[in-house]
Amino acid sequence: MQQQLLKFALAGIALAMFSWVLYLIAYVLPAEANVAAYQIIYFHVPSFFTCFTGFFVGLVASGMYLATGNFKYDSFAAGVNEVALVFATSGLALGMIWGRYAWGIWWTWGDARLVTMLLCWLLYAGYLVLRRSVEEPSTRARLSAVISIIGCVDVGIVYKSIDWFRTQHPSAVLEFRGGGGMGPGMEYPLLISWIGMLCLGVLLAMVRMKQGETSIEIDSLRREANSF
Amino acid sequence: MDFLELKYVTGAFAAFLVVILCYVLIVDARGRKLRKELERVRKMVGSDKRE
Amino acid sequence: MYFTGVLTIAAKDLRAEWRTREAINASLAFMLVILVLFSFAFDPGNPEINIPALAAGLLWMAYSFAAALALNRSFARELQNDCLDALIAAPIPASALYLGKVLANFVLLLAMEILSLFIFSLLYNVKVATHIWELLLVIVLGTWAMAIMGTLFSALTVNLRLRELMLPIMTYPFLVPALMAAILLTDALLHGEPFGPKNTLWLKLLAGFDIIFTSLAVLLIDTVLVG
Repeated sequence: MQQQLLKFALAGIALAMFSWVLYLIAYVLPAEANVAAYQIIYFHVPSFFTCFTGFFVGLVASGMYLATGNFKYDSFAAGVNEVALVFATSGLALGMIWGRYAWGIWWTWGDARLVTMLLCWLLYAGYLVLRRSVEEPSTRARLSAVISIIGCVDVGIVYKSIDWFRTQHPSAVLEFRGGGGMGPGMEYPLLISWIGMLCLGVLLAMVRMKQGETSIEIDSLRREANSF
Repeated sequence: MDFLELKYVTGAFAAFLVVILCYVLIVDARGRKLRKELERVRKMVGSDKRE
Repeated sequence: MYFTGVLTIAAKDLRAEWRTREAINASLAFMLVILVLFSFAFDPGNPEINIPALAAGLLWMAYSFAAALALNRSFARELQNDCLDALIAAPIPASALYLGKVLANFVLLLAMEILSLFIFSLLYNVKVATHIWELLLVIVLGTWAMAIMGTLFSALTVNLRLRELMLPIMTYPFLVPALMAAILLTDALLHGEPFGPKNTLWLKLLAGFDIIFTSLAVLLIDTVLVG
């Protein structure tokens, strides 16, 4: 009962936050800024914020699983990483739409962030594929935890290295840097949107986790019936 | 904001919702499959216990 | 004592490989096929296509693909007759087993790459001798990175059904920083520039990548192999 209430509350907050941001975009915020269709940023950036929060929490949960061996952590990590991947997908999609409008291209290889995000996406998609291909629960948990940890470390290194790459081969394409084109009065919708997305993310993670529990129950029943 | 820009901004928000919706559909389908599997396994173990 | 274990494992793998030459032949043949196939990807007569500019990237792509082929077999060959279980039960730490295999893979890959380097310079008219020692350093560091990550993922995917598919899918995204640094350094060296201030950053990145991921892999290999 409490869980249901919490889910409704989260959904309600998310809905409220998104409506507020849309209202702000339509009536309050200036129609023009340094970059065309800049309003997209209010969904693009918070999506990535939520995604990174998710990956980091997944990293911590994976570490906890390796430390304690409690399967709840593995279930938690899987759920959180999966939801984070969804937000990464939406962030990338929004970025591509924005790029198409503002700069005329769907994609470029010259920007550090784009390539890093794509690689990050590939890493965690690989994580999910790995989980699907291992049947045995403890092996699956073990291997996923390792990938989660190396993945998070690698994303940091990849970002730094592509950043250095970009300074060596500068491209004139994406000059918009975070905060560069926005005045002080235009940043708060980012926070509002982020709160909404976090609530949405937690809600999705809760649903996903329930499925994880069902999965664990199936696994233990199957073990009992010796059908592995 | 001219019309094309408005189209893109709303298109972007719509894309966000579409991604979340796709995920919800996937999760829902998986939930259904899991419930069926749970029933099947429960019956299997239940029948073992009855021996 | 530890290093004796590492060297024993490495020697065992290399000896087994040398006697059967399965992986060597397959990877070498594959490397040659790739080098030849690349030439069909663009028209050599077209003056607009600057082959020397692409050469470094082509070389490292050929190396990566051939490496995936060879690295797959690293732990996969131990699956028959429960050899993997026997190795895990051996009185050497799991990290010694891992490093031994890394060493063996490293030597194997390096040998193939040096051979291919000369064939590559012949086929694409690229001068490799000008800064040959720096070039070899870059190849050594890059190959070490491939050996470390590839062997780790070989251990990770050894029990999976889709082993041959999962290994490249998972290894390549992790290798991107090392490959990028190696390609950029090779590119500069093939164009005749020695290691200057512009390149030392990439050299540091490559060396740093090797050190960080060697340590990380040695720490995590126990979890991967044994649990």
